[in-house]
Amino acid sequence: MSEAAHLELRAVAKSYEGGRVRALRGIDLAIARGESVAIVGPSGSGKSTLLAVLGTLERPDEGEVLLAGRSVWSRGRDLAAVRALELGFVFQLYNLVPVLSARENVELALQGRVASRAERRRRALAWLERLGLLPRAEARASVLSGGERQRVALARALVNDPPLLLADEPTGALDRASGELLLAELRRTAREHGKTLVLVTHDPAVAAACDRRLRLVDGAFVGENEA
Amino acid sequence: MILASRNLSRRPLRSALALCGVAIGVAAYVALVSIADGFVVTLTRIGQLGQPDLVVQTRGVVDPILSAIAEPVLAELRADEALAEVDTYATHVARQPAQPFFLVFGLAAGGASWRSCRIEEGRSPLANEREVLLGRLAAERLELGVGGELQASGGALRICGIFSSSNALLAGSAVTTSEQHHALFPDRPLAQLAFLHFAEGVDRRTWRTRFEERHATLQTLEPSSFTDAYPELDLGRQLARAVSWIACLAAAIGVLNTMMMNVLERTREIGTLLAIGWTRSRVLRMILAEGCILALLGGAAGLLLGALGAQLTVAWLDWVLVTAQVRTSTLLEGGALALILGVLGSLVPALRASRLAPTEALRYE
Ligand SMILES: Nc1ncnc2c1ncn2[C@@H]1O[C@H](COP(=O)(O)OP(=O)(O)OP(=O)(O)O)[C@@H](O)[C@H]1O
Ligand SMILES: [Mg+2]
Repeated sequence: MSEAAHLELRAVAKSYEGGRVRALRGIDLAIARGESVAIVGPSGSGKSTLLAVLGTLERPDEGEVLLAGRSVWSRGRDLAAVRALELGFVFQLYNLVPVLSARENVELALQGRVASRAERRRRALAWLERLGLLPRAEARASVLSGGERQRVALARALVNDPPLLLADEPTGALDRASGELLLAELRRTAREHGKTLVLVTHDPAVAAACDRRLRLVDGAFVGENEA
Repeated sequence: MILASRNLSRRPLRSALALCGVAIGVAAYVALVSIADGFVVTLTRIGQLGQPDLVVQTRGVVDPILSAIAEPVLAELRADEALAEVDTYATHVARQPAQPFFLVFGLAAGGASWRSCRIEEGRSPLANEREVLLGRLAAERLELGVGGELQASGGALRICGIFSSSNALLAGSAVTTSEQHHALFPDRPLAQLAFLHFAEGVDRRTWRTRFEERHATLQTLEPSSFTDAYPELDLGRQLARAVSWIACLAAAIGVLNTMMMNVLERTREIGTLLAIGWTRSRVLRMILAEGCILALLGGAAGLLLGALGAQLTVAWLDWVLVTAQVRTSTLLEGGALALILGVLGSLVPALRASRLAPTEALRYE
């Protein structure tokens, strides 16, 4: 091993409802810097749980989560800073604030990180422009199309320039054309900026385009690259 | 801040209702306290009758109406070389149909307060007649003129003239001489209060100390701080506070309910903010800011409403004794009250929001 993995899980287990629902059972996983990984599997197999654990949103019951070789859940670690600066999350249903404009939604990720208002604005607009959304920057999120909303969400995930992108079925709520457009953006950005990408998908074509495919069944991996 | 105010516009009706609650609470506070203060101002005017230097009353009375200066004391004061003038007043409440607290004053004939009344119509009351002079303000409010009649215990009083006075309390009452007042209302003393005017070059402090030493049952008051002698007046303020606190409690619950619903409804959104790296304290501050903006907007409306409400209530009651005094301090207190309501109402929802799990971002019901 030449260098620490970007993201590593060691014997991670997570259960819900007092142990009755075992969402993850002993997951070992190492993802290299710049790698793109697809997670596939049937509904309820634990894909979202796995992504939440990778994204420091969910604390596992057992096992360790290491980001750039450092344990995420060790005492004194500023998780808010990790979530803001080390990774970007893209959600299935975009999770934008409907009453804010596209630009203001992107700026949310800079709140408390970038003091200058003008600088926040400049950075948000730069990412919206890269994703072809400049003309819609001042439109309220609630009036945007699904594809536009997900690109705003992508800009929000990228605006702090984190080295890791996590996406939970980012095209799940989009029609085929907008879904493909979004994935193209996602992969292009990841490649251009050397970002690590982990995405959950039901789409075999999307999975096939990734460096690695992991199949999850009942909270455990059943094989690699066979999806 | 932008987010907080934008969030409030999501549920305009809900926000408006909570805002109204705060407005009503703050308005109740401002209006009731202002009316209580107005009452104090009215009483202060008694101490200013004829612009005296010192007021004498029975020690420890709750209201000037309960004070009485004995005739030997009056005689002694009138004989005192240090005093240029000794003015007196007695009063009686003569209930009128439209003015439950209508006052009839008996003033020392020719005294400073008597001289301050300028007869504009009619003439002075004749001795041994049931006659009084009516203040201009009272004449307007009661719609009575010369020859009209006032209700009083022991029979009607004929209005023999109309006078004007710069003292609003006098202008809103009826006036006659001390002797006649005593004859009309025998249970009233000749003088309830004595208003002293010093001769020039008198050492007032020494005079005052000596007087109070001689008369243990009497006390002297500065006209400017006349009402300080009546701590019971604070009761009005306290009562006003107590009543408005009930309204404010309801307002706080209104804010609480609104903010709680806002937080519950936005569970996923708040989870998302935490998932993209917001600190818990930032989430807390956002919800608190929402509650405070709501309360301050409501408070601003409440201040206006309260000040206006106090004046309208007083105008509607149309009682001379009840006026409204909207102090700046009352308005400031009202504003502070609104802020307290905002914080109180949104603290629990804010704490709740800040403790949500970031995984709420992933839940899709
Ligand atoms: N907060 C929770 N409380 C209780 N059970 C949960 C919770 N989150 C997930 N689970 C359960 O854990 C299991 C894995 O859920 P997860 O959401 O990770 O599956 P998934 O693979 O993402 O499914 P889908 O493809 O439908 O999104 C499921 O049985 C689910 O019901
Ligand atoms: Mg899922």
